[in-house]
Amino acid sequence: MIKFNGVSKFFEDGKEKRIIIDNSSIIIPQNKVSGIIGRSGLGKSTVLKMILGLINPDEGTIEVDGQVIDSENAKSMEKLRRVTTGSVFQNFNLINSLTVEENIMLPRFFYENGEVRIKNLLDLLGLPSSILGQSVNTISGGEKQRVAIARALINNPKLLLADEPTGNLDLKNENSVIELFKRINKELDLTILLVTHSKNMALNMDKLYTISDYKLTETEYEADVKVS
Amino acid sequence: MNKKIKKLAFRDLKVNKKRNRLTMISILISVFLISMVMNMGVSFYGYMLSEMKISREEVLTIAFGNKVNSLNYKYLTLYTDKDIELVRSAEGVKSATGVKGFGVDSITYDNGKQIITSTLYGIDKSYLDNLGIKISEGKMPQKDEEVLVGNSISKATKLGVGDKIQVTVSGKETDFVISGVIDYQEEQAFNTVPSEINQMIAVNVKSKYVLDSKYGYISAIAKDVNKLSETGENICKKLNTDKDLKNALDGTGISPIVASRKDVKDMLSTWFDYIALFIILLILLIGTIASINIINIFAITIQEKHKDIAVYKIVGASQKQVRLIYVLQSLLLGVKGSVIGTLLGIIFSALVITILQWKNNSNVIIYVLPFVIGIVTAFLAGYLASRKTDKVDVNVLMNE
Repeated sequence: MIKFNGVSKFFEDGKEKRIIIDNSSIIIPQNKVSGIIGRSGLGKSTVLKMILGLINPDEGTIEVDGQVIDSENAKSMEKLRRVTTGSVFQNFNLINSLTVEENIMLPRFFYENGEVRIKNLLDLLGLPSSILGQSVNTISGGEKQRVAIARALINNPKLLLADEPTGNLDLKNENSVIELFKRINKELDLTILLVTHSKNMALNMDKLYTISDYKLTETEYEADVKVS
Repeated sequence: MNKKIKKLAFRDLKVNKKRNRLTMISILISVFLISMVMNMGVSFYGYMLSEMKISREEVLTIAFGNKVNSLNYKYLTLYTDKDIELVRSAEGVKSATGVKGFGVDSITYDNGKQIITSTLYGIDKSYLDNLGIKISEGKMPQKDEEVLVGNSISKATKLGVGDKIQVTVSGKETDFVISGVIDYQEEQAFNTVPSEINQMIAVNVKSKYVLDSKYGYISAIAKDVNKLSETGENICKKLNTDKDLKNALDGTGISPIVASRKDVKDMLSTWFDYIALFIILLILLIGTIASINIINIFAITIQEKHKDIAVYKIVGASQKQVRLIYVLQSLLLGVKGSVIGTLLGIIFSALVITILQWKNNSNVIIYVLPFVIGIVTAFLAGYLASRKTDKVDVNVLMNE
């Protein structure tokens, strides 16, 4: 699903060059719940940004579902975000002036991919239909995250990307989001890749990746893996 | 157009109600000002044109002045019968007649009641005919002691045909009988018809009382109204052949000049070209200020909404679709502001026009144009501001 081909990324800080990843080649498989784990500042979010097409690698290429990611090609990024990927963020990023239903349907304001299945999504995510007419300011953090997930799924993407999806949630809500991801993966056959520093999340992934010696590599969860 | 994007645009407008209201008010004021300026400008122009309606285009007044401004002329009793013949012989002249006049000590009636005029004129019928002026009562003076009086004199003194007036010249008083009353001539701002016609007291040009006087000015009729300038030049060339006239004017800086309604029209036209240019510049200035205002306000709004814009992009909105949201917002505010501004402009300008008794504007374009300018300004400003959304970085959605 996601292919890294000799990817390198670094940042220049004055005269100093800070390497994030160096010449990494890896395949993140389809239909699995995968996580990139590690302590803060490791570069996990940078990797996710490259997959989202927000920044380009300095060397190598990244392919998502066969499409080469190029952050400078606005048209190809539009297509990617409309058809292939759905995104969820730590801060939910819901639009305050819209209702819950409008937030969920937001991607379809701009492009309609496949059928609308809002009722199915609500059932899948454990949201009552009465929530649809409410303002997003009146719902809880857990509900906000579910609404954000529903928004990411409304246009039937193939890949769900999540940046610290449980970062702003308590343990109870975090556990329910983890269960949610597993259910989504199973019922929708969806590939999920998330970035997290939560041990709890890491334990529940099908596949785990980390950045070690500037290489993006697959790893096993170990008790002493530094995740925070 | 996507109904959903429209819904998104208008829903977003409701969030900053105060700011959007201010934007709308700025468009309203701009359109109102443009509407007022255009309506009143056109009305004033129509009023000025209507002020020239009595004077016939083919009439030429040959008086004296400097060539810089042919409309600033004066009457000097220097023209003779010879000059009238010269004018008649000029190419393009159909007919010509002279007007005599001299100052008297006083003109009275009814045992010493004073009449305001102190000039006794000498005219012939062709002079009145050339100007299209009728005699409303009585007839043209035939005898030496018969006079024609202007309508205002007749009304003020209640004198009519058959009544007597006394004219005193060098201490000697002579009785004159009123033979006719000249039809009232409407006072106009610009007129080649002498403004004194309503207060005129005139004998026949052949009367002994004016026989020795010279003509103050000559009134001529041109053959072709499209060649008034050429005819005027021909007349001046002919008059310049009169050596006595030339000698009399030598060193004064004054020469015979020919004034026509065309000169008035040309002058008005030049004035209105300047006024029109000023109005256009004013409209451009108002439009520019309104645009800058809208662009700034929308730039602030876009700055505040950069996270929402980033969300639109991450869920698949194209640059065009994101820009469209803000263009639609500026268009809606533009329509609201323009409708109200245009209506207010029409109402207030109609009020002022009625008070000033100018001509009401019947040109629909003048009513519609400010509205169109308002919409176009709002659209352009919204479009320019919306381009800032291209620079919104989706990275803001992610935590470092």
